[in-house]
Amino acid sequence: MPSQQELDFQISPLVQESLVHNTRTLHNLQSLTASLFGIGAGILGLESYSGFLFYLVFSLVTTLLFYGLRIAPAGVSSSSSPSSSSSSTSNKGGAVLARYFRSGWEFWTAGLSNGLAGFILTWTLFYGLVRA
Amino acid sequence: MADLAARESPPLLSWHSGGAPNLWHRHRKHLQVNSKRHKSIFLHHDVNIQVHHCFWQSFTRARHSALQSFRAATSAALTSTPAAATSLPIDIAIETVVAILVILVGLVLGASPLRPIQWREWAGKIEREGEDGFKDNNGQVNRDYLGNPFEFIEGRPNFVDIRKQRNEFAEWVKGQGNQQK
Repeated sequence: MPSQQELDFQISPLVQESLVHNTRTLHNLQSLTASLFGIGAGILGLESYSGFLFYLVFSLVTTLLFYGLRIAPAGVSSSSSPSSSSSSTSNKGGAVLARYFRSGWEFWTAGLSNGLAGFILTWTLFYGLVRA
Repeated sequence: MADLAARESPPLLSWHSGGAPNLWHRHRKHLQVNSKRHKSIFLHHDVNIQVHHCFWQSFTRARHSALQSFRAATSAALTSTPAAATSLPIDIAIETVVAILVILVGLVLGASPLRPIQWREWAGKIEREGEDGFKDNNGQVNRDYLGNPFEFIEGRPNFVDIRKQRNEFAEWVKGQGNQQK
């Protein structure tokens, strides 16, 4: 007897290519911006906890901007078109996010671990360049 | 027109070293107006400018701290204020954060468009938009775009006119019989 999740996948299958493409787009953006935040933190001369707090705040801002500028407009435009019928009735934030990503938790928190190494690299580099 | 506008833009260093905020703001407004028409080009342009700006910030900051440490070293005999050497002027901090935010918006807007992961939505998008729905920001169709998944159904052959073929076969058989006689 297949589980409920397997049945769900059989009824509404997912496109692996699109899933990989979306995750890669987000991952690229986050690693690029993380090195940028490292530059900023180095210029500002932040140290220890304040630097990590800077990274935390700005990566959340990145994800928020990505949600607000790329995901939410797509959800609005698709629900206004007449062809989409089923998901437009409960067009909450989670439903829009579920069009492009499998889990919301992963979307909101993956950025923190994706770019941390790049952030620390450029942070220490620019801190050293500026302070030396 | 995009090339023309990009060529007309003043060299990057002149805004920075000249410190003319008016020119900078006017140019940014110009960018915003034009960015609707030539979105991708101007986004890259904008990001380039901002990245330059960010590096300029780090240079300014380094110069400032060098100056401060020099001052601190020279005036160390008179007053001992080590805090003055490490404090950052507020305008450098604000400019850094603003530069980061503007680059951030540019990068988010320049990210390649997402695709629906549900099979039915994805197939519907292909059906409605075709190649147009799968272009990246440069207008190129993405490499992993496979096309309509129902192509094999769309391209099936027409019905065979079996009566016509049977008549042709009958004619041919009659012809064979006539030749043999």
